[in-house]
Order: sequence, then structure tokens, then C-alpha cells
Amino acid sequence: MFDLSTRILVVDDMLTMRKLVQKACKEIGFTDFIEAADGAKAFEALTASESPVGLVLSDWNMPNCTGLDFLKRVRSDSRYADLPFILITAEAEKEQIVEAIKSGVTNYVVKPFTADMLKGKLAAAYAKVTGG
Amino acid sequence: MSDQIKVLTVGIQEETIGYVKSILKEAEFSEISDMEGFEKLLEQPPPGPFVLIFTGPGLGDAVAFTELAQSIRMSYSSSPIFFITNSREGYDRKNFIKNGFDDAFLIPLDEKTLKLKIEDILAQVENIDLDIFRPVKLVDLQADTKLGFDVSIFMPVNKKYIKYQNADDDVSQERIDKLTKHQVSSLYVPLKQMKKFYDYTASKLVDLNGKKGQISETERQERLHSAVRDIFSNVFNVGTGKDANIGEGKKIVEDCSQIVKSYIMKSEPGEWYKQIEKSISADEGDSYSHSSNVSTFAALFSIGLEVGKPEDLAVAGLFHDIGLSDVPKEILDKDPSEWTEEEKKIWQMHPEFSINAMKAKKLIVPTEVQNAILSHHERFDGTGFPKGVAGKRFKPEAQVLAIADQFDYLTRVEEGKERMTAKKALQRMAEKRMFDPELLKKAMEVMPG
Repeated sequence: MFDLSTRILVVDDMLTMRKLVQKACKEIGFTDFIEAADGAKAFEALTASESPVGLVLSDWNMPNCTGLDFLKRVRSDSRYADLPFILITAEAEKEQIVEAIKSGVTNYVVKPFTADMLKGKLAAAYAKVTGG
Repeated sequence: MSDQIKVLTVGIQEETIGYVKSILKEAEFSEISDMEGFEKLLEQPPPGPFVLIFTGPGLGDAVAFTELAQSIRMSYSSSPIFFITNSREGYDRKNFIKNGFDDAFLIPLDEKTLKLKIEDILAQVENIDLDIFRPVKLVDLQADTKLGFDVSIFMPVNKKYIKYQNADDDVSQERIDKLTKHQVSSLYVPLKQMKKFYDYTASKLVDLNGKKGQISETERQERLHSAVRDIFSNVFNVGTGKDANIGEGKKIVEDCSQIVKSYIMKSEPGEWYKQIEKSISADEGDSYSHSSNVSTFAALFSIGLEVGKPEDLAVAGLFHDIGLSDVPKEILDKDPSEWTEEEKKIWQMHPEFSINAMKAKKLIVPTEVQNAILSHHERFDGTGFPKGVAGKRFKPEAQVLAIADQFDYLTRVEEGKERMTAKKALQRMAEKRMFDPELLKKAMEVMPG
């Protein structure tokens, strides 16, 4: 499982959702978060972060730059080729998940989720990036 | 009901909370009605477990419905979450369900369905007594088999359920024949024992046919009801006017044909009047059950009277009253005897509203279907509406839909109203000169009783 001191970048255009995602992560034991309200701002935050981001939790459906756009941008930068990236999708967007997988998403979680469900997804993502 | 039932409401509209409370009279309610309360839900959620959680658009635009679902699900992982609204604006039942709500209800259209769904959930709670019955079809019971569930008959005038058969006893052919003779087509099973009923019918159908996949008459009607509800919510959800999408309209019409094919056009030749008796409503029902029944009856009368195309009349039955949703709730809630002239006029416009709603949603159906819908309140003696056509100008296909509509209204088992047999209902229509006497005579000749 990810080290609980991992810095997590939480991306969502809705403030409440950002809070909710962090709440779920806190329940798991994580403590270090940075936030962004869309994909473009998220990329800035990612590159500007002093201590490196170890995990991205991004919403799919956002104005300006969607979660998928953000994912593609992250993966096109060699520094972030292996950065664990989890997309948060609505059931309605699940059909498009194939494109996200092709674009290199590590895992995805469907809204609404519980802290337990997120924990399971994170564990699976960790196993995937560490080859365990 | 005991005091252990806890219910949470989050952003439910004032107009709808009253209705929910009237169903869950003895439940303990925790209510969140403003943003402050909503913020707290995230930090310190009220202690559950809640048997049910209701939400609605009451918190305004500040909270998107996806956030609502997420906030609630995070704190309460297993309680069912229902979205309830009285506004058609933004109502998209499929989308609500896709985004994590267990179901969504549009009030007043869905009032009775909501009540049934709440009761279904209460029935799963242990240690509570429920004095609630659900109708099942007599044809689903087989003689000389052990039922495993109690069966009652309902006396609508006294509003009483009387036990007819014990769960542990075999039901005899004699007792089934007795009910058939009295033209009782529905029996009533305690809600908590309905699971046993489904198990019974499933195993009996397998015994009979040696294959799975067949459904009981009770389930056929339940599935039809649920399919009609889906159709209605799709109609409300498709854009109107310039936004209306021809493809979506076409899809809805195709879905209707599929429903008609799978659930309605299954009668065997020569048996149409028996099918009619089987389909008589066992309770007051709601708009969906009325639509499904009228659809079924219209198709069967079309077959029996050899008028029009059964498939077309079934489709007309599905949509004939959809325009009622454009009649203000104040009018629908009132007893017709209390209507002002103005209110009566508005209500009498509902056949036209139905046609308008279909046109706005780009639902393309044959002209006969449109005519029948428009004329389902016309009468043979010219006293109907909206046009007051009489005699031969009242087209036979339109009369078949109108007969089906009246038939459902007259035969439906309702509290405080005497049960009316199929034949009696037809006689009543004949006495009142509502429809072509020749058509009614033809139907009465074959109808037993």
C-alpha cells in the first residue's frame, strides 16, 4: 500500500467533492494533500509542488481541461510517466474508461464511493505500479 | 411499526417531505435542510443506521446531485438513497440511478410508486410488524400444492382482508374454482411473505415447463408496470421543441413496441376475454398501472372485437393519459365534483396535452394512434370531450381505447367501492350509451357471468 505520508493531488471542479475525496483519504490515514479545480491548474500544481506528488486523484468531468486531458498531459511528460493516477468517474462516464486505460490511467473509482472502496482501488493501483 | 425506524432527509423539498412523513408516520426523522447542515454531514454525520435516506433539490444549485450522492454514500455505505423532486426541470431518472441513487421519484406522478418502494424496504427490516398486503394473481396458484404463504381475499367495501388459505395447507382445486366462479382474479399476500410467493411461482413454472425464464402473471404485470415507468421518465427527460432529438423519440417508440410485444401481446387466440379477467386491477394503482392496464385491455378488446390493430391500440393505451402530467396538481388532487368550470376545462384538455407532449418529444406514431388518444373521452351519444363527436363519427378504434379506459376505471378494485365484474362493467357502459351498442354487445356475449 502507498506510504501514508505520500502527497496526494486532489483534482475536482467542485469544492465539496475535493473535501469528500480528502475525507475518504484521511479515513484511510493519508495526511498530505494539495488541490486544484481543473486539469490545467492541476498540471501547474503538480510541477510547482515542492515535495513531489506521489498520487493523483482526479475527477473526470471538469470544465476547461477534463480529467482525461489532464491524464494525457501528465503521461506525455516523461517525469510523470509512472506517477500513480486514479480517475474518479460517474457511472455515466464508465463507458469511456477504455480510452482512459489506453491513455495510461492506473485505476479508476466510480462515484459514489466509500472510504473502503477507495482503499481497495488504491491498494490495487499500488500493486500495479510496483509490479506486486 | 416500531420506533427503531430511523430516516435521514437531506435537502428534500418542503412540499415532498410531508408526503414522505405521511407514509413513515412512526419513523424518527433526522433532517438536513440547509448548507450549514450539509457541511456538518461531512464532518459529523448524524448517527445511523438509517433504514432509508431521502434527498432532493432543496439545497439549491450550491450542491450538485453527484455531490449529494457522494456525501451521503461516504457516511452511510449501505442505506438506500432515494431522490425525490416535484420539479421536472433537471429530472433524469436514469442519470440519477447511474450516479449512485437507488431510485428517483417525480412527485406527484410517482407518489404511489414511492409508497410501494418504501414499504418494500420496510419489509426487509426485521422485528417490525407490517399490516400491508400485495396483490397476486389467482392464475399463479396451482391446485393441490403447498403455498408456503398466507392468502387473503379483500373486501373493498369494508376495507378488510380476510384470510382464505393458510401457508401450511394445500390449496384445493375446489377452492380455486370457487374463487373463479365469483370472478375473483386477485388474492392478497402479506408483504413480508412476498418472497415466498416469488419462490413458489418460480419453482412451479419450472415444474410445469421444465425450463426457466417463464414468468408468472403477477410478475408479468409488475414488469409491465416498471417498463411503463421507464418509458414515462424517458419521455419527460427527452428535450422538447428545437432540442428534441428525433433519434431519442424513435428509441422511445421502439421501446414501446418491445413492451407491447413482450408483455401485452401474449394472449392465446380465442382466450382474449379470459386474459381480460386476469388483468383486472387488484388495487387503486397509479398512473403507470392505469396506462399498462388500458394498454392491455385495448389490445385484447381490439383482438376480441376485431377492430383496429392490437399493437397500435396498445401503444395508444400507454400514452393516452401522459398529458395529465401537464394538468396542475391542485386540479388533480381535487375531487372532480369540486372543480370550478375553469378547472374542469383544463382537465378536459388532457387528451390534447397528451398529443402535444408526444409531438414535442418527437414520438412518431400512426395517425390512428393519435386519433384514439385524442378521442378517449368521447362518447357515442356526443356527451364526451374534447370535440363531442357522436355516432359513426366516433371511430371504432378510438372507441376500443375509450372502452379500455372506462373498463379499467370501473373494474379496478378500490377501497370503499364495490367490486365490479367484467360483464357488469360492460353492461354499465351500455346502459349509459357510452359506446356503440353493437361493439359492447359483441363483448358482453362472450364475457362469462
